[in-house]
Amino acid sequence: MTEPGVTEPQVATSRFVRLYGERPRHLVVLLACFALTAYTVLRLADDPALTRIVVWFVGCAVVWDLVLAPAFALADRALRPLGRSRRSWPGGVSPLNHVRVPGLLSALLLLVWAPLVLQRSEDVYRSTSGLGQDVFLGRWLLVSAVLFGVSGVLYAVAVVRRSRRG
Amino acid sequence: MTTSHASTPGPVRSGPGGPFDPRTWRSPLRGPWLTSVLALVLLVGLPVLIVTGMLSYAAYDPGLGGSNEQTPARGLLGFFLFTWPTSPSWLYRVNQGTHVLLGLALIPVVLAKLWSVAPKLFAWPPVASPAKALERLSILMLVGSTLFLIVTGVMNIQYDYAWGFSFYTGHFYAAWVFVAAFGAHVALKLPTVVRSLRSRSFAAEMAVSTRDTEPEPPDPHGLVAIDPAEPTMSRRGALAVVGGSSLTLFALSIGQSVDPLRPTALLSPRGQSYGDGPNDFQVNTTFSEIGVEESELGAAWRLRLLGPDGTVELRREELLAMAMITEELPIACVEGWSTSQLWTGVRLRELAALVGGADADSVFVESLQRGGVFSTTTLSDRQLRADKTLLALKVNGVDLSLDHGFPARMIIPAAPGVRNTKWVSVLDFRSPV
Repeated sequence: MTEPGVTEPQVATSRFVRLYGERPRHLVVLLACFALTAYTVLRLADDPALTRIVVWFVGCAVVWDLVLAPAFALADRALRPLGRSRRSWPGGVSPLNHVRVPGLLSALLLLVWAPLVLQRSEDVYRSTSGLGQDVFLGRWLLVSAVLFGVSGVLYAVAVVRRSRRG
Repeated sequence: MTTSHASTPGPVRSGPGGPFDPRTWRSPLRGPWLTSVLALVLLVGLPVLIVTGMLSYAAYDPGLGGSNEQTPARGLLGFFLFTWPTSPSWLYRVNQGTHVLLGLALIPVVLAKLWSVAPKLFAWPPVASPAKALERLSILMLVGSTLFLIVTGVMNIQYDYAWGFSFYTGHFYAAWVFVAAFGAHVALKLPTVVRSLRSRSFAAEMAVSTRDTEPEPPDPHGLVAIDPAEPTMSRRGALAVVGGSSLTLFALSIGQSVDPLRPTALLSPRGQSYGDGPNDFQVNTTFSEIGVEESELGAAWRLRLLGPDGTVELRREELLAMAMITEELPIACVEGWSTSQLWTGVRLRELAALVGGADADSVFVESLQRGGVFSTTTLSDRQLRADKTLLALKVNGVDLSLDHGFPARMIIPAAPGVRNTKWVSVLDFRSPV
């Protein structure tokens, strides 16, 4: 059966690849990964928190992949008309990225600091630090306004430059 | 030039349509090179988070038990633990500031990386071989643990505990799942990353304008769009947006770890000012929350020392009459914020000597605080003997305020903030039986 120049281990490897889909190294790496994960999960086997942790673990992946990422994509798609027909914009400069970038940054800041901005943890925050969370909504709006403002100024500069050149 | 390879998309397998149809994914920027650039940033950044995270865990000296031990079932996962050092005094401040600030700054990179490989989530058929099935499971662990660590970390520093489990438990064990999945992912994908990065020059790519941006050549991973849209942004622009987002998060938070920059920390939990008096700095647990009457901290207060030679009780005036030293030391919270102040008090080992506890093995510290996980803590022998470990009575030249632990609080160099017990009532110098 063995072709000349092909050793037995090579035959065994190619049969393994046909059945498994990758070289043996691939399986070894993943088995090591699953072994460490299994050991970690078993540490929590008696912990009543395990179920909640698993729910949050899977929930984080699902909410990002199936809710937040599509929401960002749809919001971005809604801005698409700003990128079309360049000639109809002042100086032929599309405002798309000048809305998209500060919008993305503002949304990201809200996503990260939502508990502060939405005052979700006012009671614990106050009893811990002695201060309130009421300042954060204003601060987020201020930072967002600055981002959009700077972006608007950059847009105006681009338009002026382009019209002078053209 | 438009898409020369769009005419040769290869066989489009019939899937359920929608996101499972590869033609849905139209960004001309997606491709192995862009994904690999983001991967390289994470390959450098994430190990720093792993190391600083594990060090932060060790900094609690979990082996001493009690409130130090927040994850008693850790088993071999605590194999690396060691007695936490007491110098340099900024050790924990820098470690934890790095962990939290870098963690925040890497959020946009992680999200961009997930965006860049999103078509693979909807690959059809979902499982082409046993190898692919196992790999997808490991990717679920990788993405799940990464986002779980971001979400629990980000919520914890904002005091939003909606998960209903201990932050320490969740963050610690998820970190080990992350270590497993990240290690496997790097082992399997590093060759692809290296090959992709070599496929084009970074400098040359950074010179390409939006108009001249073209899709990467068709790839076996299914990242490159087979029906790409017109580019609205160059790769340079996309990377600038990611980098700019990281920089924005960093710039709005660095001030909560660097005292002179505090007013710049507009969006971060501990950027607010308390005023400019000697006690006006960041408070962790206010006096009004500890269930103690102010009268218990006045003339009635006694510090009880327990040791091999018996018990000694001291009034605050007696403590003030002892040899006082003054040290500038930081309070550095696991949440990443920190502040450095000038503390005046008695060396802990001088108090130990009063009850024959100078050679003690550990010190059990009790607060008058009622309830609260960290109302007691255990200090190591190293912390007991450190020159800078103080029972502080004053800060910045004046008596401690009630919120900062009047009549006396612990200040331990290089230790996590919660171990600097406030409203101290008992110091128990323990030796092996």
